[in-house]
Amino acid sequence: MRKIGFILIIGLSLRFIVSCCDCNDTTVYKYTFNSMKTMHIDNSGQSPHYVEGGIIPKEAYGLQIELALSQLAYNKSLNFTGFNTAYAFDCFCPPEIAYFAQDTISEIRIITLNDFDITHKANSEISDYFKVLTSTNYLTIPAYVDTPEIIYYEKPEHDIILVYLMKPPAIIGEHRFKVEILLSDGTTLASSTTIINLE
Amino acid sequence: MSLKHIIVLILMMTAYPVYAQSDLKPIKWVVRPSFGKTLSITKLSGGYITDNLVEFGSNTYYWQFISSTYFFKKWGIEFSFSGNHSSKLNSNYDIFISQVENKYSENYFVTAASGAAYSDFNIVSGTIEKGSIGPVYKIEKDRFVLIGRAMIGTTSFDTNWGSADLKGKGTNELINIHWSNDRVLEDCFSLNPSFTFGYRLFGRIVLDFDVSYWIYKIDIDYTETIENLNTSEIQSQSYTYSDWINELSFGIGLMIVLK
Repeated sequence: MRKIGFILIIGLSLRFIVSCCDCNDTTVYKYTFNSMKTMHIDNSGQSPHYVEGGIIPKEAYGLQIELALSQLAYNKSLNFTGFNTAYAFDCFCPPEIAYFAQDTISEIRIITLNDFDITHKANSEISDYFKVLTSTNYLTIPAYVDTPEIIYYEKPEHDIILVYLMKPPAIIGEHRFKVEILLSDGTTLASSTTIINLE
Repeated sequence: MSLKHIIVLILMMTAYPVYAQSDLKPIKWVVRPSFGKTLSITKLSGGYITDNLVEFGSNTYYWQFISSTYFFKKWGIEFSFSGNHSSKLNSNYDIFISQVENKYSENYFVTAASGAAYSDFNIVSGTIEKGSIGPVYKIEKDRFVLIGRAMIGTTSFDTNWGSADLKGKGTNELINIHWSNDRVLEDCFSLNPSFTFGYRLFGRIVLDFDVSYWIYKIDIDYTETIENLNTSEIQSQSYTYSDWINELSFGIGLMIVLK
């Protein structure tokens, strides 16, 4: 009886020591990509300007891809241990809510709708001519697609992808682009830009 | 207080004790707070964009709060520590930023930064710290005290990183430039012979004039890394500072005889 009492005391003490931080378990939501729209970027100045049309220097052209997100039903994360998720000696609680992507982006395609250069006539894919700007670097589109999905800790409204033209068009004048995003569930989102003059 | 006032005060202090006290014991243990100016005989070479990332100034003011000497008889041992600073160092950060902007602003929008913390001035150590230890020899005659030293020690100062983000004017070009040095704190082994001429104002107070010579080798290697984010191309260049620095310090202070 003494042994059982001793073990119970140890167990309760351990629970008290490691879980005296009062942290809630993280509630996990899912988000999905609903629709997308595109806008031109004039990057000739110090900061980018988002425009519907007009003239942009061909060396300073970019595209903003805005993906509308919506929240799905949530899964309450489970905790079988009986212990709290934070420890008494490290009272850094995990975020209370996290939003994970239901489906991931598996491919981004950028198609020119006008003749771009000798080898890329209208309706050719020119994704290789663009790079995605992250907070610190330019990434090729395949490298960007391979980056881990974004986890949001506040309710997400939209996801913005900024792509910039690394190789200006040989043919100056009016241009239009179409952006296609393929999701892991097989869905394709698409959007075409308005006409822009690249000079 | 003007220079005239200081001279009069010193004359009064020196005149009084001649008549006031004659029975003086040999100095055994003293502390020696002092201040003065350090003049550079040889200067840090360079002419690089990184010059202002090095917290090193040619001519500086010094102050020495910590200095203790113990004499066994004529010979003794001393430990000294002094802080050094030049007001020119306060503007190094702005000069660095301005130089980077001037170099690249024709074709790029420039956002420059530096880890330089020149404003974090320390009242005890300043921006350049000098510490030394070594044997001392004294000659005392009546109220006059002459002390010679052959010390070794270190001269320490910070070397900071710098960076610049360049955005092409009228283009999508992005360039990151980073200037870095392997060692943030530069410790230079130093030789430090010095002399002190003192006059004993009171039994426990000696007014002293100090002349000190410092010689040390500076070896700093800065690496400039230029990364073009569009092409992922990286270029590196080294800026090397390798100089023998010779300095001469003049100062005035008080020796407080503890024993």
